[in-house]
Amino acid sequence: MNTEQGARDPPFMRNVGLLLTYHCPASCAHCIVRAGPDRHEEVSLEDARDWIRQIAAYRNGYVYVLSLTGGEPFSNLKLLRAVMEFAAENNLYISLVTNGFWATERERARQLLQSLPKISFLSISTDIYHQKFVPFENVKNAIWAAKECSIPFYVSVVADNKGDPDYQQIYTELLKLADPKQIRTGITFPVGRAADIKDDLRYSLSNEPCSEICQASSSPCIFPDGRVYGCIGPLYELQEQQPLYLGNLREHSVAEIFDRSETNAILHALRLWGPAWFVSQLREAGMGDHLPTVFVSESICQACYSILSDPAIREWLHQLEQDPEFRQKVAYGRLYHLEETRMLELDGY
Amino acid sequence: MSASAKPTMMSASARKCAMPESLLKLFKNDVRRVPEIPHANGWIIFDHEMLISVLRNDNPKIRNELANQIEKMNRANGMLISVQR
Repeated sequence: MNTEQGARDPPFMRNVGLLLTYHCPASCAHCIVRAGPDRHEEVSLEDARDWIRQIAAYRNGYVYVLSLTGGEPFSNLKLLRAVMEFAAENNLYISLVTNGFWATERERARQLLQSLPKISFLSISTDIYHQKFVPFENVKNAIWAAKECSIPFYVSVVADNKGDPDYQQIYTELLKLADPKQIRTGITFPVGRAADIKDDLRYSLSNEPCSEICQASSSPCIFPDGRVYGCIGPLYELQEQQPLYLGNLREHSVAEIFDRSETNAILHALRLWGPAWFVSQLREAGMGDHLPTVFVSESICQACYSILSDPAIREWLHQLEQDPEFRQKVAYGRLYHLEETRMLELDGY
Repeated sequence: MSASAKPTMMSASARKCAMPESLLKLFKNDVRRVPEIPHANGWIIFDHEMLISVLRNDNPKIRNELANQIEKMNRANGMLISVQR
C-alpha cells in the first residue's frame, strides 16, 4: 500500500468513459449493468459523435482519453469502428474494455486489433464469471495479439475474495502471460445481476470499510441515454438519487456537466479520503445506525455503495455539501494532495 | 505590466501560501491510502502508464498535439503536475 501523497492519484477527468452498448455475448452472473445477448440498447452514432465533439472541445482539449466500454464494445464492430475513428479524428486517445470473445484465434485477433484505429490501452476481463461464457484460451489470444500490436493492456479480474481458490488459479495462469502490475483485481459487488446471487458470494467480511481513496471517481462515464455518472462503479444503480450522478447530456452540455463535477465536493472528498473517511464522519455525527455492521474486505466500491444507498445518509451528505467549511476543506485538499486548483477557482477562494 | 496583462489566476504554489494554516496542519496529518495496483472493476484509470503509452505513440502529429496540450496546461496553472511526477 502506498501512502505517498498524490504520487499515484489519477488526474481528474483526463479519461472519460462511454458505455457503447449493453449488448454482450456473455451474461455474467456478476455484471452490474446486466449486459447480455438479449440487451440491444446502444449509443446512437449521432449522439456519440455529438458527445465526442463536445468532450474533445472541453477546455481546449483537457480530456485525453475516451474509454469505450459496455456491455461488450466489440459486439457491434461497425459502431465501435465508427466511434473510434471519430474520436481519433478529434485527437482523443482510445482505450477499450473487452472480454476477448472475439479472439478465437491468435492471428485473427491480431488482424482485428490492427484493423482498428490506434488503441492506446486495452483492458481484458476474465474471471470465474466470464469464463463460463468466454474460454480462457480467447483471453490468451487477446493478450498475445495486444503484445504483437504493442498495445499496453491490463487484465481485469474480479473475485469474491482474494483467497478464493478459483481466483488464485486464474491469477497463477495469468502470471504466465502478464506482469503482476498488469493484473488488476476487483471484488465482486452485489449490484445489478450480482444482487440476484448475493447470498452465494463468498466474501470475507470486516468491521471496518476498505480504507483506500477512490480512484474510479476520477473518470466520469456516459451512458447511452445521456446520463453521466462520476464513476462506472455500482453507484450507477442508484440512478439519479446520489451525489455522483452528474447530469444528463440530453439536458445539459458536456461543458456544463464537467464544470459542475469540478465543484462536486462529495465526489472530490471520495478522491481525497475515500468512503472510510465518510464512515468515520457519519459515526461522529451519530449516524452510525445507518451504516452496515460489516463491510466487504478490500472492496472500496462496496463501502461507497453501502453509504450512498441509504436515503438518510444521502440527505446528510447533501447538507454537508452545502457547508462552506467542508467545501473549503475539499477545495484546498485538492490543491494540497492532488495539485488541482480548479475547485478553488470555480468556488472563488 | 498593464492591468489587462495582469494574470487573473494564482499559481498553485502561490495558492498554497494562501492556504489557511489550520487546513495545512490538517492535511499534513492526513493518511491517504492509495492502492499500489489500481482496482479493476472493468475500468481503466488514466494513470502514469497510460500517459507513457500516449507519449510513446508513434504518430508525430498526435505526440505534437499532446505536447501542445501539456504546454497549454502548464501555462494555465500547472494542471499536469500530478502526471509529471
